[in-house]
Amino acid sequence: MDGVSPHPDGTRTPDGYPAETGIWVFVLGEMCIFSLLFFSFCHDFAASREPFLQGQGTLDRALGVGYTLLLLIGSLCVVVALHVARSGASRTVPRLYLAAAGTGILFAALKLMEYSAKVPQGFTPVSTPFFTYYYLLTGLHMAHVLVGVGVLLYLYRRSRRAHYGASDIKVFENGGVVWHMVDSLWLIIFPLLYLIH
Amino acid sequence: MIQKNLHRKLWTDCSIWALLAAVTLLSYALGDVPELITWQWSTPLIVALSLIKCRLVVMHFMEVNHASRALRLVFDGWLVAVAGGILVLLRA
Repeated sequence: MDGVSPHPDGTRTPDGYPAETGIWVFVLGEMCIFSLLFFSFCHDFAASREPFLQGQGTLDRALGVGYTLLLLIGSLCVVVALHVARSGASRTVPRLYLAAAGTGILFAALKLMEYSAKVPQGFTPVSTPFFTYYYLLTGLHMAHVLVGVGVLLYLYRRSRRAHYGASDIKVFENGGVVWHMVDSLWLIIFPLLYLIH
Repeated sequence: MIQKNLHRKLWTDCSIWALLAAVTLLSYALGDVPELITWQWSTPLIVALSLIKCRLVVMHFMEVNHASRALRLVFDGWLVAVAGGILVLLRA
């Protein structure tokens, strides 16, 4: 054994990756860039805890939970779509990708509404260091959500065919990995901005 | 056989999703209800729970648990580095 668990559906490629190597390089690169932002935020948070806690106190934590659950629902749709697709073409697969894209669009719409409520209250990207990080982290993440929505809409279109070949499954795997990365990053952004003390 | 495998996989997907949702609600409670735990402990716990959630998504939804050992180690290394970096920098 080379340390690779056999894939339960037998779709693992000889290189040992469920998706293509380039996608993993992209995903790891993005995650490393975000982790530097997380470190910078934590450093500044510890250096001026009180102003950061004041900024955090203006955020709606319940809304933060709502964003998280929304993205998790999207991720569930994407992973279920992939598993159903591997068992053969189904009318369920495009519906699941469309539902996942819907969660991303709703996430972005809610975030824009949150921004539009914050700005008139004086909480802009230049008002305090906390809000600089807030807009930077959530804005960069939202850009990734929108790219992810584009990917999911492509998967929706591609999954509307009578039969799926190995190349279709590979594309579904690639798109799924990108969407799950977007979800994973939010799972760290959410507690940093909304919950820690 | 294929249908049985599919049902088993969908059951696992839904179970992991339910666990992720439950841990999200627990993190929210830890951050919002001071009676549950002292502030001193809530931040390390919230950070640990968020990284555990992240690992569940990476291993099960991204299927890294079925990828090569090298990729699993890279992601686990990233998760440990991020958790450690966050906790050290926050002095939590």
